[in-house]
Amino acid sequence: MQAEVYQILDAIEAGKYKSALSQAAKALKKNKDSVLIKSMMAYATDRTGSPAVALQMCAELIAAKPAVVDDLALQLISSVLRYNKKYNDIATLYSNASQAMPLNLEYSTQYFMSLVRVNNLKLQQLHALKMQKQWKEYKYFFWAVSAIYLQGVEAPEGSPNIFFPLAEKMLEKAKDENQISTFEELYLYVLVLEAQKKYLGCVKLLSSELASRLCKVEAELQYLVLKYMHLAGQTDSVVDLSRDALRSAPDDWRMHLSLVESLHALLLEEHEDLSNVNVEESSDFIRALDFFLELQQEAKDKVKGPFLGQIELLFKFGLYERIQPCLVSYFNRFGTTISFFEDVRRYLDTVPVDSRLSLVSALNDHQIEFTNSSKDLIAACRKRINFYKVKFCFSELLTDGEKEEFTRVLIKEYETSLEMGKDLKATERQYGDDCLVIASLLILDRFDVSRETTLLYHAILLLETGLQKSTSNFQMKIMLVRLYTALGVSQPVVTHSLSLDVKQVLLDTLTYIYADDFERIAPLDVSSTLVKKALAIYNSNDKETPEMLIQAHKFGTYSKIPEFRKFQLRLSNSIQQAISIRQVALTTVLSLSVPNKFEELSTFLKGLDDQKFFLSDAQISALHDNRDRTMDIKWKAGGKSFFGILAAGEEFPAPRTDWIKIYGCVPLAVRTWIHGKSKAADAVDVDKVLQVLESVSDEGGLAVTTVVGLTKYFNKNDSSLLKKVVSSIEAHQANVKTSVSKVACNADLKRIHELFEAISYARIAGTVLAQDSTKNQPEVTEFIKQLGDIDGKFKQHISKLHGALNAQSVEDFQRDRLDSAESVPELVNSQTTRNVLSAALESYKAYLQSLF
Amino acid sequence: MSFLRRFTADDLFKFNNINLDPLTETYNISFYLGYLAQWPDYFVMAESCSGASMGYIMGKAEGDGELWHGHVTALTVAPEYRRMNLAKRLMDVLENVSEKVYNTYFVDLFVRASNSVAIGMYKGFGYTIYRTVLGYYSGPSDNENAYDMRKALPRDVKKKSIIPMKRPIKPEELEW
Repeated sequence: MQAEVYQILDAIEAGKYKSALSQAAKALKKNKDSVLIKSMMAYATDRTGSPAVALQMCAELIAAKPAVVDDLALQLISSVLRYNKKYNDIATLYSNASQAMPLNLEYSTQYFMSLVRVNNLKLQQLHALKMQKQWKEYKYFFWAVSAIYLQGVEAPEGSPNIFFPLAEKMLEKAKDENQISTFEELYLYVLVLEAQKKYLGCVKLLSSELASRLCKVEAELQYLVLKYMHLAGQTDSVVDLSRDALRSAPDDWRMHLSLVESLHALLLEEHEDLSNVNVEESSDFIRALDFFLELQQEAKDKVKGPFLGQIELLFKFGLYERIQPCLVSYFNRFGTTISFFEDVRRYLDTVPVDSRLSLVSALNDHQIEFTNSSKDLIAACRKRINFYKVKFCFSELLTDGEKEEFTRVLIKEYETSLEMGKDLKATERQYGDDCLVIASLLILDRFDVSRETTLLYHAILLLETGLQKSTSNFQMKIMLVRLYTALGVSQPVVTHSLSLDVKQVLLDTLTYIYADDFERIAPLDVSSTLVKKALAIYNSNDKETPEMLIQAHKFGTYSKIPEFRKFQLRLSNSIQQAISIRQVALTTVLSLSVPNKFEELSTFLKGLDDQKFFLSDAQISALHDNRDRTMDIKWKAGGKSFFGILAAGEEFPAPRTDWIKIYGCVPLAVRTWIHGKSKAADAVDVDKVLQVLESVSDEGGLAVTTVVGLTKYFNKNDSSLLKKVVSSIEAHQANVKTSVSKVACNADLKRIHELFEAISYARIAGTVLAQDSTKNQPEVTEFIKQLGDIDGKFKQHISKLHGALNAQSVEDFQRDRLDSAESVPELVNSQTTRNVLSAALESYKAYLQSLF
Repeated sequence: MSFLRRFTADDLFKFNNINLDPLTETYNISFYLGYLAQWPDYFVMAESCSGASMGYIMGKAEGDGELWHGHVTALTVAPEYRRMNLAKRLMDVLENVSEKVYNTYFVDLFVRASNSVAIGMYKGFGYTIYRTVLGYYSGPSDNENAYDMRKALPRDVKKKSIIPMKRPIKPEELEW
């Protein structure tokens, strides 16, 4: 048998799975009970694309008596199970193996790790203690404590938590017995104490000789001590420690915050009501100010900390009127650094409205007047850009004329800066890029008032021009994606989003920027491809993160176990995942709504996982919103952000609570038209689906009205509902016909899409009815006829819109969209303008064409 | 203004402004969490006073005997925070961890031979070119040599680890 086994293995290793399979089948005839050959067969079967058969084989092996205890067989079976995400079965497999061979450390360890994979904390705790008893290694003891701690972390709120005291008791014993030998083990002890708010205990532990011995990096230990001292209310000690730390590291912002917050806390301890206190005369404030001044005098050239720390002190103590001169001084000293504006951004909000322009003027007085070296020229340019950012921050106070003049200055500055950056690499940003960003934002300020789409084109043209010189500037790309989306122009959204190279975990945090509602403006095949991409990261999370939890156990990095678990949950319960799953379903249903794809649609809907699509209110509110909002530009004091202006008063990214409900329920509802009420145990009842859809019908518009009407018809057999569905679609169609006479922006396409979506659902219903001979009542015949009329009129309207665009040359289109009182900024060359307009024209045409 | 702290798994949700830069590769979950699980003290984030992610460094300890060393796997700073000495501060942490926690003989890093800006920067930090690795960066549209740059730590008293190799090597000759 050995020779046969090697042959099969060779075939598997060479990736010749079919050959492995046939050899294994032959070998099995001679060795009917060989679990190794059976497991190789299961493995090869899985790899040849028959996972269901492979899993059945695995199930038989798991249930085998005596249990499988062959190393290779176990590896092969668990590989099949892991690949198919059957993690509970892996636990059963190794539970059986370790019970059959209780002295086998490998099987016991594998069983523990399989419990980690499925997050069965209770069994982890019990099994790790068993392992410690068996093999007398403290590593297993800490695995058990970690499992107990995590049970405490994941215990329902409000219930008595027995886990933390138990973990503490165990760790105390380990410490007394000198069994804590790594900093990670000690840190687990700190986490257990912290969970019980025993902050003094944390301080004591971290200040111990043991901690000093185990933590080799003094600064790290010092920070932890400070953190818990702060939480323990040892404010005086925090002040002293922070001061000491700042003397040796005056640029450590964390220490500045720690000092200022502690001083403020001390003041609050002394006075219940600060409104009656002259803060400036308080001894703590005076001492703190002196300290910062002392640090400033000792500071080397590039050290910002003591200067910004002083501003933070004034900010925290509410002494806003004293901040302004410090800002001028900070600008004078550090205005040439790239991060100046970010350093001071939050303090600018405190400048009284009537002092803002004088601050701008004061900063202007501190520009670098004359330079001759290229290094100084760049520094002067950077300082001017920081000045422009502050001026833009207060641009609400500028008149329209001043804003236009400011825009001209910015564009001029950008042009001048190009000479300085002519030797920069393609991956670098040009020195003046932010000038174009600010100029675009100023244009958008005007768009916010007039909603003239010409201004969106102007902002696009400026940014596209900038991108030609800074091909990697992702901020410009993100702005362009949102600007094109606002216009409803899809092709450049695809191009720019692809060039951002969003992948891996970035898919969860950044997809919203280009994919939100993209199906409303792009052909379905294009939007479907784009939205499907996001799902890859959730699959990776399912497969990779459990393995990394195992790694953390192996390396004894206990602080990382709760961290990885949180990371895993943030992805598996992510809002973006809920949105992407629904977008994929939506685009699939719409693209399969035509009669000749009915079978495909039927199969797709049958395969939906109800538990993923039907989420309760509690489940939706528990979703994690990981979408990275820092990609927005919020440079203006009190004004709207970049996303805010384009979203026209709505939130972006939107919470999408109702949207998640709607597009979870719509495919489930449509499924009942084809497959009736599901009898599956975990299927969601159609009445519940209808209840949710009716609760959000105001938000859902025509699509939801149509789906609700048709679902009620199919499930309640009330034929009058068909008439109502037709009436509401007809009413919307009449409205679209009059309101959308040309395609100019996202809102036009949105109206068309809403109608298209409703017609698509009605078309699916029509196909179902036409195939069902039991439903040949006159109402049904009438519905199908009326549907045909609606479809005809829709195509006629779309054809008219498409024809109008088709008849236009790019030059005609350009005249139509750009010729207004506004003139295109001179910086933009004619080819860029032509490219942008051509992309818009082609995108509109492609979208309309896709609706035929 | 900034401060340095240990990188956490949660930072993967907020490092976009760093990783959207074309010179910074975004790897899979296992890559980052694997480093965090094995070398948590070698993975450090620089955070700005407004809470923004500015840059990070990740590294590991590897090798045998006198080749036991700290390795810089990735060092990256977001475009808006460059030219602020942040890379130096992050490298200081990695060197400190290599010396104090892992007691290594030297720190090494690989850099594209054409990346003169980075090479100049590392030279400024005390690194020297130890050897050339031929075709280290090779792919469908890429074939470039790497410099293996090193800096000796106090444990390497005689600075043996940084005596330049006379001949270039092939990637398969790398020890680890």
